[in-house]
Amino acid sequence: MPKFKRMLLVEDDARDVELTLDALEESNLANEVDVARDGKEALDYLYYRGRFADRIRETPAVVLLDLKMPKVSGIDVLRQIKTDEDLKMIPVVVLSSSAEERDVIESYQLGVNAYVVKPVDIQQFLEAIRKLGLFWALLNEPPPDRNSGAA
Amino acid sequence: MAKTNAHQLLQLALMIGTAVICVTGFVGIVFGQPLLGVIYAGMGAVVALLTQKVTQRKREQEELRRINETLEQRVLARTAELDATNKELEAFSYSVAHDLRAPLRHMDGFIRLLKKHAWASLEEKNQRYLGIISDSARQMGLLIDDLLAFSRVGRAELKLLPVSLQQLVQEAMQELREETQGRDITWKIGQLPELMVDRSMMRLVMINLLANAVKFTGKRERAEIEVGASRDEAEGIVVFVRDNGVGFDMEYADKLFGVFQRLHPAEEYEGTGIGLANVQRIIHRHKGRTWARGEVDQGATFYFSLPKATEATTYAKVQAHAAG
Repeated sequence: MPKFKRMLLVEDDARDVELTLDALEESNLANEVDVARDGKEALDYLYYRGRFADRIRETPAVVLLDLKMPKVSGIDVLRQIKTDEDLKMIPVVVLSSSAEERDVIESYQLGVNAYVVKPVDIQQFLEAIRKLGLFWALLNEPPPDRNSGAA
Repeated sequence: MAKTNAHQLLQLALMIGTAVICVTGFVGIVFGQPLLGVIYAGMGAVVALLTQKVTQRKREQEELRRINETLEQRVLARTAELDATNKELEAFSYSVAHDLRAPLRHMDGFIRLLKKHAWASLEEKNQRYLGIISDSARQMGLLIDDLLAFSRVGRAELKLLPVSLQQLVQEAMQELREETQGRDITWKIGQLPELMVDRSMMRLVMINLLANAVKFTGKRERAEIEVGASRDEAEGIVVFVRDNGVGFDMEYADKLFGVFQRLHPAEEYEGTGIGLANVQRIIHRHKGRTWARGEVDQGATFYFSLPKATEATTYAKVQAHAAG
């Protein structure tokens, strides 16, 4: 069986987390997902701080990032990742409720790797999540892990 | 400023003049020169009249300047107001896009989870209820998407380029392949002009009009759809899409192009009812107009007109003329 790489899901809405995990579960991918509940937690995860201080030193294969979140927004997280020498190679996929032009433009300007709109239709949503999971956790070759090299 | 000073000087001179003439006239009368006195008094009256005219003129100019200034201020205020309203609208549609879609996704999503875990234990009636809730959530999602697209059609900048209407019709027919599959449709495409229009918007117009024709001929054994164009002295370029479908009652013709207006029950003909509203908005933005003729069960014809200058060759001529 091929080895799935870990993914980070950054999502503040508990209902979306549940639906997303359910979708990934159907593709046997749910165990490979860590969840951060807002932008601040996402940064804590990436910098091994707060409740993620003790997690295994491993860069996620992809960050699935919601845009509209309290405190630190998805755009802020994206900017931080893409301007940090140690993080900028991590693929980031924006999962947004809408394809508002300014969000799309800003995300790409900051260097996002993909932009996906969450469909209202749950079948389409499941399909989108499943494809994303399979692509990023299985098909895509992630950048070499800096941590494993350095630590 | 210099003008005002000159005015004031002129006024002063006239006033002094009046005073001098009046005094001279009075002196003339007193010292037994009545004729001279009368002449002087007359001159005095004329000068006084002139003074009054000049003062009045100046007052009028003042007034005009003040009105102009207020007008300018009002225009500025209005523009600021409009800007604010526009921003508000944008923020509104942004939040509609984001915040209204999430709960809908959750409704549909959790109904699916419920179905997954409890479907077998549900009575048929209850299964049907769940299906209806789920369909409604999806339908509302479609409405929101359509409404957002409609608002974008209103805001997006027009990019005018020469576009072959003939080709747009071909593209629209390609787009409708799924809907026309297995149907017996006779297409009559007439000679269509090249237009200076926004390509993607005009493409949407043709897709909407043809999709409508395809949809409302759905119950015809043999559907006939005709697309044609003509030049009209008063209307400019007129394009029409005619079908032999269910038609409509002319009494409701003015409702056809309204947002979410439908003249047929949703169970019979699907769709959100925004297609023709988009058509009208796009044509209006190109300075044209839309209308329709029909009769119940006798088919319908949808028209739009565009100004003469929209035709690419005319447009080129006008541009060349302006440049030369």
